[in-house]
Amino acid sequence: MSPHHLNPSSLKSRFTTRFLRALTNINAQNPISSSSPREILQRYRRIKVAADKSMAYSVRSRRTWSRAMRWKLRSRSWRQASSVRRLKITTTCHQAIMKKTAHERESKTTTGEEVGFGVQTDGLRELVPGGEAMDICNLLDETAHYIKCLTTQVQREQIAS
Amino acid sequence: MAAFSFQPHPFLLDSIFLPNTPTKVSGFMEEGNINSNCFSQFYPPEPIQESPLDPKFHESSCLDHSSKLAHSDNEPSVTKKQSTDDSTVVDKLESGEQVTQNVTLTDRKRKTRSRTTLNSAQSKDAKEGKSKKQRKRNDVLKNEKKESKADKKDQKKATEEPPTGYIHVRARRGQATDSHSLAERVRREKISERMKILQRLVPGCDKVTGKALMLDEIINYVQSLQNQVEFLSMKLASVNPMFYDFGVDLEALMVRPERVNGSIASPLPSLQQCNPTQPTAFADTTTTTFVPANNYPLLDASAALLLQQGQRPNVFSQDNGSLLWDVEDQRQKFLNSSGLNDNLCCFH
Repeated sequence: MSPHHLNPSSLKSRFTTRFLRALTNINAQNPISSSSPREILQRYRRIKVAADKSMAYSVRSRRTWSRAMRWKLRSRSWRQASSVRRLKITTTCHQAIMKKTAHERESKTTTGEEVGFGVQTDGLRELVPGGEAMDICNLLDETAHYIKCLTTQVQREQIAS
Repeated sequence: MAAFSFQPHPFLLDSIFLPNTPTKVSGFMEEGNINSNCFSQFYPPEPIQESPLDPKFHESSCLDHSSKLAHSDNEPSVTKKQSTDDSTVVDKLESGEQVTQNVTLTDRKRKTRSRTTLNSAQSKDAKEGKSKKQRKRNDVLKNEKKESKADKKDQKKATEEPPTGYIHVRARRGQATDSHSLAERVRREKISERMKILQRLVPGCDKVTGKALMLDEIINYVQSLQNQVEFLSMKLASVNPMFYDFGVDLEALMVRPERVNGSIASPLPSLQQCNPTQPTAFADTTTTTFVPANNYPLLDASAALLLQQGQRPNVFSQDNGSLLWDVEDQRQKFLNSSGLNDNLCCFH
């Protein structure tokens, strides 16, 4: 269709490679010693992050949602492993961006209500990463792509598990 | 006399302008007038939109008035140009209506021009009101369908030619409201197009009517997908870690497409080993299947090869498998029949 529509097979294969690699890494770094719920939770978190990461990186920042997700993950990993100064920077960045997006959203929701589904689009904005700053057209576009990628993710994980 | 013969022309434009316009447009285009080039974007879709079935008429009437507006806008410039040029141009352009016109017609033309704009403005208003009423009368579903149909064509045009062209022309002509409505229509049509895409993606969404309900459905679907991902990662976290072994995992991946694995595996490795440029030579037949193989970030050679062999068939057997399979079969035929396989090996 249009050039920014990804080749699904390439996306899927890229995602699978990344995800498998991440899984093996996780497995190699700390193999399961006990099946305590705490450890399982930790593993779950890591796997979840790995899945998200591999999904976002396999899209290669061509999409707004993947960029937002990468940004989120990166800032999260920063927060986990970085000094206070860095944390300050990220939080101020985050605040500035949030301000901006809130401002944009205000102007956007007015147009959204014209069309007649302001409430629903707000719900969608929360679900799609980076959706806070989008207008409806882009939001729907990103949602479509995001759904595609999510289905891929689910399929892969089903196969892997 | 001359004025009289010219007089019907504007009315023709307003009332029956449809059959006449295309030929005229081509005339303007020949002239090389920039304005006419701009508004000629409107004309090609017009007969197409008018010709299909009756039910679409409400929407197309709306489109008509916009195109008419464009016409009335551009008419002056054309006439001006004509007046500066000699009369042969005029003859050539409007051969149907005017037989002989002289350069002395300029001020008369000016008059008629003002009349045409008036006429078109009036009829525009009337039509706009009408179409609005009709729109209100229509139920939501019908309206949506028509809009998306009619507007898709419009947008195709817009994407083919620079989309900024006509909108900016509108605005410059001092018709701000109309340009607004035009932009709004483009936006709405974009939204409905995206909604259609989403409708295709989300299962059970095609039964729902109305955008709000559809969006609800979409939200539910996205949420369920996210939950599913969480659940699966939880499952992955809790199952036996032995399962993550590369070999076991790959076996699990290869379980499904095993029947075809043998047939695919033979052409694939040779292709992957050869230069990345060589597949692109016949990429026209195999673009969809080929790109991923080259795009791979290779971890290390053996592992990557293993992965590719394991994954690619698997990928093909997924949801859109039939299409990809066809391509794959074609490619295999192509490879086998032309003996490219051997050639590639030789290259390597």
